[in-house]
Amino acid sequence: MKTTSLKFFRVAPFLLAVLLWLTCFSLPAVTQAKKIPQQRFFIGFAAGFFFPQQETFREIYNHAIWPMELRLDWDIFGSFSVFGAARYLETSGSTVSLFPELPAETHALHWQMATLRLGLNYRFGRSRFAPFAGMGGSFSFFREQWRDVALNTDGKKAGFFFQAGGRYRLNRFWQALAQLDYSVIPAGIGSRGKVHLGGLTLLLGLMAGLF
Amino acid sequence: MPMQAKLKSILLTLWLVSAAWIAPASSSTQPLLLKISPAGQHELLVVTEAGATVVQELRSCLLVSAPPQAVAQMQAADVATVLIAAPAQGEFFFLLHSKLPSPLSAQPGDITCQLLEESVWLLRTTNPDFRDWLVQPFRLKALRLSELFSGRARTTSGQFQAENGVAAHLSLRTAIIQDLVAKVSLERLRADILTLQNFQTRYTTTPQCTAAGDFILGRFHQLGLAAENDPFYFEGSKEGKNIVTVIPGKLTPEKIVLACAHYDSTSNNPLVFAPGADDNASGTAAILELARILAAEEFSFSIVLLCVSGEEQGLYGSDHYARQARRDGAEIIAVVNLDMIAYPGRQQRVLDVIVNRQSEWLADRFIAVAQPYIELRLDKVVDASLTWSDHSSFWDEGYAALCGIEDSENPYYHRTTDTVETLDLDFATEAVQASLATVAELAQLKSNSAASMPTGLRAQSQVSYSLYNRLKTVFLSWQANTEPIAGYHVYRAEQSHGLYQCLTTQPVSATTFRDPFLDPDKTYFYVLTAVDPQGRQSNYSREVRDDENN
Repeated sequence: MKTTSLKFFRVAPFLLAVLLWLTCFSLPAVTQAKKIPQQRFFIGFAAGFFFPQQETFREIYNHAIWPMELRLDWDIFGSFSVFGAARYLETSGSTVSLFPELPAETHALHWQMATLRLGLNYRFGRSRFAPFAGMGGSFSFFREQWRDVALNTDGKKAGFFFQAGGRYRLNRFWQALAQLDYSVIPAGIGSRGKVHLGGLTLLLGLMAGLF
Repeated sequence: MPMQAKLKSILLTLWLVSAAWIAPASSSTQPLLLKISPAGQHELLVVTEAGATVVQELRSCLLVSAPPQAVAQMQAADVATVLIAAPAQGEFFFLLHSKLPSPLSAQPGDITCQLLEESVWLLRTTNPDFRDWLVQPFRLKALRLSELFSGRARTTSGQFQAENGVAAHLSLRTAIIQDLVAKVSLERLRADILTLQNFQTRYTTTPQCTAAGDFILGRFHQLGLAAENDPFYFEGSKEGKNIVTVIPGKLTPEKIVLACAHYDSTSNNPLVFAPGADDNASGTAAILELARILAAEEFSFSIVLLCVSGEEQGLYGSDHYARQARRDGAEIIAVVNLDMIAYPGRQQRVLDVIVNRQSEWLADRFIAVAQPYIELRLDKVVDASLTWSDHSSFWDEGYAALCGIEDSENPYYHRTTDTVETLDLDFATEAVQASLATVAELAQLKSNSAASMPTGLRAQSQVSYSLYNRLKTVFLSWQANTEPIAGYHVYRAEQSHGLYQCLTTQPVSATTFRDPFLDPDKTYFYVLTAVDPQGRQSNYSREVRDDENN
């Protein structure tokens, strides 16, 4: 499995901060513009809950997993929009014993995953509440760390996803977002056979129209 | 598969089919002798999967016996095979080691020699007197192809890995073994070598060789050991005999440490004069010296001391013994074979410790245990193609075996000039001391500790897994000693009876121990000792495998 350095995980929060900063400081300028008929480019932030599809994953990382996502949506033509997103999640867990009947030995674990997502959404209607559905591809960087021993696995894998949700226009610039997606990320062979890093994610967020 | 290989495969198949038609005497299921090169892991795997048998692993190739249908299967897996022979009834096959451009003095029609790799030939003959045509010096190993062809299993080199240079526990009994090592007598070695040399020849089948065997048997009896002749037959009605004695183990007598040497000899005039002082009166004298010193001691395991003949004819004596041991299910944990240990040459004083991959742990343990007692250098040589002595017979039966041999070219080798005057007996003494220390350690010489050996050792192994990794943890427990002790030391090895590493820096007082962060794909073996208040450790407990009580 190819590995990636820890630098990525340090860069992601930095990028997030930069984009948030850009959002906050560009909004006043945008609001001052008098005649903008409709916003076509949105930037948003969402957070939610991730439910891993693989049972082994859930067994090992049995704590709640709260992903965060920074996303950009661009209404390109008609009811279609292109979107890109950077999603990050981390969680902790502990190893599982292969032989439950024997004395247990557990080690603390830490899991981090950053996923870049690119896709296409179709919006149903242009009313205040606009449901949408879409799909796209993803590329994930992940790292599994054993806390008490130097045993790390870094990897990167491509996948795809389907999603559906709705956007609710709060005012001229702000929209609320709710989205449910299902991702498929086959991630090679692990200690107990094939690893699947995908699953269901529920996100709630806020989108700001930039221009 | 490349076109050339395909063509080769088709031609070979055609040849095999036509051979089966033309020569009805050789049945179509009669296995073939093949040479496979290179001799890598892929080739070993394919050979096994195809149902073929590795007859001999050489440096650059494998000699393989395979049924005809397996040949195509191996070629389909991109294994380069060369047909060497389709053996027939009445034919003898030998591996022949000779550095000469041609090992034969003439070219008789019933002897063929085919070069397999540098200095290694396959000799094929129906002539029982073929040795008369061979030019000395040479070495022979008989290949028992007929038994292989009847489906007898042979072992191949495995994947065992031994750690090199581990900071391991050297010996529980350094002081006691030091005392034993000091008892090795150069003068006794000289006297025994001279006695063996004075038989004029010990060429197997000669009356003098029989007399030499009787001398060894008598010596064992003098030491109060129960010894016996172990006769065997080879190449028809030729007879040889091994001499074997046992020092029974006190705690686990079914486990055996075996030390051996061949006492037969050869030369350029073998029926008349073959003094064989270095080859191998030196090794035989070493076994006699081991018997003298070890007979008075107590060990946990049994020690078998074995002097074989028929070595120069093709390792017949050791082959007979090893096969019999395997048939009887003998638990031989290690074999120390000594062959030519008294001619170090002028350049350096090095004793090579030759092992195959399966026996690598034994070389590690030999060197770790013996080196502190001696000045000569011990070099580990891992090479399964070095089959020219009796350790090879034990390798063939899957036993861990090493050969201790001088690292030099003896110019008197297999000549009438191989006499005691040419030997360096200081070197031989150190080689015997090294072997003695190792055998005593492997057989677990009784400790002088006041603590008794711990009992009731149990092991359970748990595997913890994450998404991508696994680690093994081993849990040990045992019964507490009743006498006052300072605690216990726990030892771990990666091969059964291998090089034990002490896991405890100080004696632990608990009767449980946890050994975490282990490779789940490896098997570990544990023993423990009890430490008396003076810090002396008891003998090892019974060895347990990590998952023995899962």
